[in-house]
Amino acid sequence: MKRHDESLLWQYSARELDPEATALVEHHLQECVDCREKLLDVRQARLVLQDAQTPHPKVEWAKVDQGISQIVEKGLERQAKASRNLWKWPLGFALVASAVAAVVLVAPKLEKVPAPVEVAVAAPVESIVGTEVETALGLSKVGVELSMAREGERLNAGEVLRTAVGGRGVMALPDGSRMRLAGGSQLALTRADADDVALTLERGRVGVSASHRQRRGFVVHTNGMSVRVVGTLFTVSQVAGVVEVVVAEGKVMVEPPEGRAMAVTAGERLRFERGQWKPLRGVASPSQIAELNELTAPPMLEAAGAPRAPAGGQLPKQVVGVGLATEPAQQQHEGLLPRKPSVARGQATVWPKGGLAVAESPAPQVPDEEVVQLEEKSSVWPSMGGGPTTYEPRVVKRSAAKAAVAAVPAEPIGAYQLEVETPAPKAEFGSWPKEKAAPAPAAQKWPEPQVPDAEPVAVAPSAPSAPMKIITPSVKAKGVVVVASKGEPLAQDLEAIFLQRAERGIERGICERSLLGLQEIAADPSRNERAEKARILRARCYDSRVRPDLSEIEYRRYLEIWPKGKFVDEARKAIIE
Amino acid sequence: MSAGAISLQQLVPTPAPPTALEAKLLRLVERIRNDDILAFEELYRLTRDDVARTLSHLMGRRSDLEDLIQETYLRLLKAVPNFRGESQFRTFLYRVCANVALMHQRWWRRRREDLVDEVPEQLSSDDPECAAQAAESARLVQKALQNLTAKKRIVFVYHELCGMGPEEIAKAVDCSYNTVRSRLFHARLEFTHALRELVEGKR
Repeated sequence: MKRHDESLLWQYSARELDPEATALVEHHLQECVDCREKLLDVRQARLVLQDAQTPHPKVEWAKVDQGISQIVEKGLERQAKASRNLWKWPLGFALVASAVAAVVLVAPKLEKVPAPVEVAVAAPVESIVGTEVETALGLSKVGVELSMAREGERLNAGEVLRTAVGGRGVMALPDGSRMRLAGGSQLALTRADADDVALTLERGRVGVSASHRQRRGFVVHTNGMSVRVVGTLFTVSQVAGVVEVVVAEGKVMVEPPEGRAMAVTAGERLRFERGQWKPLRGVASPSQIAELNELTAPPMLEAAGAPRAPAGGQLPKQVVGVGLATEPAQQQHEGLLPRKPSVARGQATVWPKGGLAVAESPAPQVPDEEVVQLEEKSSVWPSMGGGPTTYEPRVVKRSAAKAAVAAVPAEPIGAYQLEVETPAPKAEFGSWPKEKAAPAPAAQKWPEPQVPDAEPVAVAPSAPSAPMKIITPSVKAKGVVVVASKGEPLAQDLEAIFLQRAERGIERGICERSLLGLQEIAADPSRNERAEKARILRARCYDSRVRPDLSEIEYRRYLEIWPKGKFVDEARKAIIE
Repeated sequence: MSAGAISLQQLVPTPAPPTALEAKLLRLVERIRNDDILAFEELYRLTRDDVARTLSHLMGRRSDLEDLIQETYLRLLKAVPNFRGESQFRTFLYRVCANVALMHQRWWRRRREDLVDEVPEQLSSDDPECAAQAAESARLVQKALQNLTAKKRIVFVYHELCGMGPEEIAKAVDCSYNTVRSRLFHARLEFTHALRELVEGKR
């Protein structure tokens, strides 16, 4: 058969030919043994291709997410600069025009003015008290009229602020604290004094970096609850009555409408829903981390050359990452591509008790349990804090299998402890890390395929990204069969499952798609028992497909290679028959 | 049977992707064109799995897949203003993927020596047996695809693995329908041959 003709067989197999051509090919196939053999090859190739469509490549999404986030951040910065410059031009033009108009119109009249009038000049004000807007993207003031807030604008107590979906606002409070309002939020500046701040979050999320000044109080009210600050870095979110508090540094006291107050300390996440507290596991969501990053970063106005001194207060220190690898802030704005993981740069990973780290590491076996996770669903990727974020609680049955596949341990406090061999970084002023935070399963909103609990799972431990010891709990996982033997590479374990599947396929008469894979295993002498098994499976498969000629070839090959093998009797009997 | 006896038939066109998704993607593209950078994030979220899978098919299992994905989106962001909506957005996206793959052609030529760089499949299926079967098949396909030239590989992967029709591929790789058909036919032959060699060579 000519080379070109074989492609017709492919088209025939793929049903791409019209009925007339199909009939012609079928007629030819009845006569040509060679073409029948080739058709078998084509069918097997197509089956292999069908199977190869399914797998998802292994991707470190956290790394890609961070890169995309940086692209977006740069875009937003560019837009923000453009918008700042946009109002400067008309303003400058208006000033020049008014000056010219004044000269033209007023100058001739000045001759008629008998004497200059002395104007009393007010004494300069030492500092303006109020809340200053640092960043305003889609930030508006809600009042009798809705008006847009502008950067550098001073806000008074009592004002209600609203951010558009995808917008955000960063404000410096009179006590030296800073707050960031995420997209789709509404907040009232109930009190905004140098020694007393009260905010009322009506919806959405607010991140606060509180200063360490002496003051009467700093409280965030939301949905009947009060979050009192003890000098800290935290976020409060409230969506549809569900309140979540995430503390990155220091401590806050949360007072629910009923019941006793509860302290939330650094690295903890708490959710209050239907009158009950539920501690959440996992790191803060990317959007919350982005907010805290922005709060600990220098204010944009200062960077733009307009230094701002908070009235008597000092800016809070940048926070050492809790439960995450720390990284100098400037590195996050370096070139977009390519970047190395922080571990590769020698960064240390801190895994505090109760905090959660995000890294690919060998997953310990943990007992199955039900975990209530807060699943974040946002219309936009919330790493920039944009978009309305809704929370859907879901009960997830966790098991060692899932933990291993997800490669991200997000376990309860005390379930097991992680010891870090690398000492914590000495840099006191690290920024809140972004890089490691994204793939936390508790906060991850993109559903990743997962392996069911009770099924046998082949799992090969991947290399840990940071040196650490894992103390496995005494309770062993239930219902989880790890096929992988210790130290065996992943491919070998997949092979074991593959062979099982092929064997079952022969029983069901659907073994054709396994033939190529079996041949590859059978042809590798280093695989010993598996090669032997694969060869006999190929023979059986051909047998079941009523291909005695090919089946005999396989049995004979088996006897050549394994004359004293486990299936010798079967092979001899098959050949004789 | 000979080539002259039967005229080559049109290849089966690809079923169109869900229109709702396509419409959503087009709305996002429009927002990006209007300088709404946040729409880009959403676009990324909606398409990243497809891009990762396509790139891994085009370039094999690579340890730097993350960088390639990032590069693809960077190029996409720059290219979106040129998207005129004459084709489906998916076609446009696959065109960017193909360009990224072609840009790494130098690596492609060295690929045979870099097999140690293979990355294992992720166990993504609910059924471990299916996952094992899929991983085994993916490994075989990747090995067989190494024998194809970049251009043939792109056409073959887009048709056989991504389910694109020849017209769509022609737009994605910027060549004529006949060129796509020719490349696909040759690629099919070479792929079958490579697969056969791969299996029989070890006998």
